[in-house]
This record gives sequence, structure tokens and C-alpha cells, in this order.
Amino acid sequence: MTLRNFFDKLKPNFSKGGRFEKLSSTFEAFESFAYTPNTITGGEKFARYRGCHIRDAVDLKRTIITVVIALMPALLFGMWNIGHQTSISNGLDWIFWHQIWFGFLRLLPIIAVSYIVGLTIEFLFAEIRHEEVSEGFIGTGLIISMIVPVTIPLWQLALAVAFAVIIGKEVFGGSGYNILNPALLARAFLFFSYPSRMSGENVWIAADLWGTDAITCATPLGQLMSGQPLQVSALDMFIGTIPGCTCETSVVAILLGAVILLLTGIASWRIMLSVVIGGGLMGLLFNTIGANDYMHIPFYYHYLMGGFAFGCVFMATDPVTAAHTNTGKWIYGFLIGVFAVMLRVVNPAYPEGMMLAILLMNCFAPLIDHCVVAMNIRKRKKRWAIAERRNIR
Amino acid sequence: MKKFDLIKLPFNKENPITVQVLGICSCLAVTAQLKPAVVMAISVTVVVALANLIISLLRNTIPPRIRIIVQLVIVSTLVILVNQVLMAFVYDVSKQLSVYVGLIITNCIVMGRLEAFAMTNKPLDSLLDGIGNGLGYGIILVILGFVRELFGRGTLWGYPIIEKLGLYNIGYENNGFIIMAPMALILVGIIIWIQRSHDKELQEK
Amino acid sequence: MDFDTGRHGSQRPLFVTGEFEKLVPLDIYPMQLIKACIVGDIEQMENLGIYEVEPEDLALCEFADTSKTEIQAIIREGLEKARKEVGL
Repeated sequence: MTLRNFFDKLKPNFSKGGRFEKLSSTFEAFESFAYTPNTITGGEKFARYRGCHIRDAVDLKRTIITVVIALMPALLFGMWNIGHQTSISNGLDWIFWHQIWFGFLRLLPIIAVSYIVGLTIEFLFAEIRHEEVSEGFIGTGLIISMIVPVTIPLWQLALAVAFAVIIGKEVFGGSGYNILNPALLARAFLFFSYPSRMSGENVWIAADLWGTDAITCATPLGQLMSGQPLQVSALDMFIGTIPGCTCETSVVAILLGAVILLLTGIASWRIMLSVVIGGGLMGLLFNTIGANDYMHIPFYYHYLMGGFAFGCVFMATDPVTAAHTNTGKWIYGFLIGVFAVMLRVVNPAYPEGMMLAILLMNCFAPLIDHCVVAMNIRKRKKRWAIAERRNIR
Repeated sequence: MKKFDLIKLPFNKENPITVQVLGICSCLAVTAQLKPAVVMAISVTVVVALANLIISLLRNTIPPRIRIIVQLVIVSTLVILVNQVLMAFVYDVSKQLSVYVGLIITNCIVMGRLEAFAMTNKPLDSLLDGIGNGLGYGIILVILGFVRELFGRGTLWGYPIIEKLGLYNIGYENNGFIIMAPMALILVGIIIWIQRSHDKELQEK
Repeated sequence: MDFDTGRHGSQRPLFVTGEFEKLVPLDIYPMQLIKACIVGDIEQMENLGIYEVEPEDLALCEFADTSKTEIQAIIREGLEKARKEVGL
């Protein structure tokens, strides 16, 4: 029996009047995950569609899945890196495939918990509201599992995902209506709730396969913040063979993802470019001031350390929470870069400035949009005034 | 309006914190633990009830132009009395509450009920209204204090319940975020959300 | 004959930004305009330029829309509402 026949046979049970009518949203979610919905436009029966009949093939599911594909390089590298760090710090000598396998086994529960908890909550809310399940979480779920430390206890991760989905998205009405980036909300929740587990200075390397035992090791950011000279080179940080949260260490892999996103036109190049410019300018400014140790970090190091690259490519460019207008995107990205570097250098308690900078600018993005649109409105009113004067004369 | 309604309504339909949105600041600040929350709730109830009663008895003799000053004098006197009582009988809690007992004077619930109700209603009604609003405020404080102390510190009223249940041994940790004020505000928001979903009347159209 | 075409997806809230501005040569903000029309805020619609647009001007946006909204119908309803309000 083919998959299509399988769905067709089950469909009457889940439609109106069927036995499982209450689960209709869940069924629709699985069916549209496997097959494009066969809704049609046009035709006599659908004369109410007063617009275009032919629609573009891209829809939200395909957009989000492209984002997931763009995350793949970073994910695969992260898997290898987890195993690599454990084998180095334990003094074991693992081969390449063993390292990847270890990383895969450690990463699998995190991804599973993130998706199961998040999707269950999304399905519940979609059922209660009698809507279709929105696909926004497919990307968020993967991103959340890539920015937490490897040794995070799974129940804390579940709490964070529940917090992010309920308070970050569902309260406001679902995907597309939120003002704060849900992945960053999850990480911020973990950062403030369980700081000993998530501290930005030290990072936890998995000590063994199961359990939450860990060896601490300072990240480059942490080393700089405590005043020690850097023990890794810039090339190491660029490739990403350094300890860090699961999949955000490798700038190379993230750049690959950025190329995919830019080629498909999903992420805004304006935001990425302005984040880089903003961070660089602020780093240069601090280099020239040079008041204390932190300010002497060369400005291009900021791109390589911590979550700057990952946040710039995948989180700042989230279309719903960023500024919506093009001019607004320049301002938004620039301020994110500025604040990220400023928070890192000036406040030693928060080496993870990128997360907080993006959350801050998420709150300001509607204001930026409002100002840009208000300027457009003012231009329009001037045009009206000129036209009126011409008419009266 | 029936007498019992005066006490019943502020619990749910006209709750001072979730529906009238008054008195939020003190509710965020004192609910980090359950015991100060309960003490604060009782103090506010006493102040609001007695202030309502006294102002209502005097309502026909206060000149309108100085009524705010008169209300402030009466409320301040009551708060000072309550403060002294707290310092005498529950000194440790009063140390924890420190400034927030004095800030009951500025609590919007107190002035709000005085202006809205006590100035125009009979003494007995005002007393009941004050008790009702104080208890409505109190129930929210107790809920918040319970949740925040249990998950933030692992204790309830000082009794280390999580430790006794042995949950620390299996890897449970206290949630540091819930003790901070922003999470308290989010919890109030969740309570408002649940309350409004249940009650169609409270939803604006 | 009764032609119909596939919609290639279900309707969603407006999610992706920046795709409408590329397709409309006018000096308007299409996404904000569409949102104002959905809500029915007449003053905001006028400010954002509903009098400069016809539903057909945004037809390309409707074709390319990732969220499969019925943009032309929304603009038409917005124009009707504005017309009734002005009293024509």
C-alpha cells in the first residue's frame, strides 16, 4: 500500500464528523509534511479566489526546510567536534568515525527532546485553536539543540523549549506573530535559570557517553575574559576545533550555511552585512581606546569567538523578529553588532553578548520599523499637500 | 449590590492585580518567598479594610480639595501601625520586607479603592470591599510566592521540601530565573492568560 | 472548460519579509499596507498609500507570496472600506 493510499484511507476519520475529529490538525500536519496540500485555486467551484490562480511553488514548509539544510554543515561539524573535544581532553586516541559517532549519540537525545517537546506543544495549541500547525518550529527546534552545551540535562532543555514555545510564540498567536526569537529565549532561559550549567566562560565537554558528567574547559572567550593569553589560534577558531556549545563553533560551516541562505534569498544579506559592519566598527573603536585588556582583542577576533557568527547568520536574520523594512534591517543589524561587541567587552559578566544583543534589538525592531514607515508616510503627505495646492490654484 | 458580592468579586472577576492591574510592583518584589508574601497580603488587607472604613465614616466631612491629603494621612498612620506590629511580632519577616511595608502607602490598590469606593459608599460596604480587595491581592501573592519559593529555592515556608524528597540527588537543580522579578511578571501574565481564557466576559472585543 | 491550478501550500501568517518590496515599483511598503487592510484600520491604510494602488498592482506579490495570502482580495476589500468611509 502506498503512502498516499494510506493517508487517503485515514482521512475521513480525521475530518469533520469523523471519529478523531479532535485530532484533525495533527493529521493535517503529518499529511502536509509528506505531501503538498492539494488545495487548488481557480476553477468554477473556487470562483471566490479573486486573485492570481497560478501560485509560486515556494511555500513556508519549503522555506523552513531550506533553513534546515543550511544548518546541516554546522550540525555535522558539531557532531565531529563533540567527539573530538572529548577524545582530546580524555587523552584517548579516537579515529575520525568514532568521534562522529560519539557526537551523534550525544546530540541525538538533545535534538529528540527539543523536537518532541516543542512539537507537542505546537500541536496542542493548533488543536485548541482549530488551526493548522505552523512550520516555524522545524527550524527553531534544530537551532535550539545547536546552541546548548552538550552536557545539558534533558529536563532543563525540555523546560527551556516549553518556555520558549509557550511564552515566546504561542502567547502572541503562533509563528509569525512573535516579537522575540524563540531559540534565543530558550537559551536565555537556561542562562538565567541554571547559570552553573550554562556559564559562558566555561564550557562543558562530555566526559562519557551518557550522563551529565563533564570536564570544564575555558572557551577562548572565557580565557580572554579572565585575562589569560589565548591558547588557540585564529585559524583554529575559524575552522572551529575549539570547545564550545554544541554546533556554533565553526565559522567555516556557518559560512557555508550563510551561502545557502543567501543564494536562495531566504535570509537578508542586509542584516548579515550590517551585523558584521557594526561588530567590526565597535571592535575597532575599542581597539583605539584600548583602556583595558579586553579592548585589545583585535576586532576580527570577535567574529570568530563565541556565538557571533551563528547569531549573525541564523538568528539575527529570522524574518519575523527582525525589522521588516529594508532600511530598518540596516539599522537593526548594525545595532546588533554594536551591542554584541559592547556587551562582551565592557561587561565581563556576560561574555555571551550576542544573545542578549539580538534579544534587545528584537524588542526595538517594531520601533525601528515604525520610524521608517513614518518617514514614508510623511513623504506621502507632502505629496498630497503639493497636489492639493496645485489643484486649488 | 449584595454584601457577599463585595468580597467575592475581587477574587476573580475584579481581581486587583490581574483585572484592575494595580499593585504590581509590590507583588513582584515580595513574593520571592512564601512567608513574606503571606505577611504582606495580610498587612495590605488590614490597611485597605481599615482605611476604607475610616474614610467612609468621614466621607461627608472631608472638603473635596484636600481629600487626597486626608487620605494619605490616614493611610500613613495605618501603615506605621502595621509596621510596628510586624516589627514586634515577626521581626525576621519585617527585616525581609524592609521598605516594602512602607511602600504600602503608595500601593495603587489602597488609593484606588479609597477614591473609587470609600468616598461614595457606606462604612460597612467599604469595609467589606476593602477586605475583598485585600484578599484578592493576597491570593495572587500566595500563588506567586508558592511557585517561586518552591521552584526557586526548593523550600516552602522555610521547610526544605525538595531536599527531603531527595530530588537533589537525582539531578534536580533550583531555577535561578524564577526568583528574579521578570519571571514573576511573566507568571502574573500566565495567570491573567488562564483567567481570561476561562472567562469570556473579561476578554475585550 | 474548468481550469484550476495547485496552490502549493496552505495559508499562513505573513512570515518572510523583503520579498514584496522587490516586486512592487511603487514607493509603498506592501507588507505594512496589507496588514493595515486586514485589520481594517482606515487611517493607516490611507497613510500607507491605498489610494495609489490597485489590486492588480500587487498581483506579482500574490504570485510570489510564501504565505499564500489572498492579497488582491484583501486590497479590494480595503479599498471598498475606504470608499464607504469617505462616503462616495
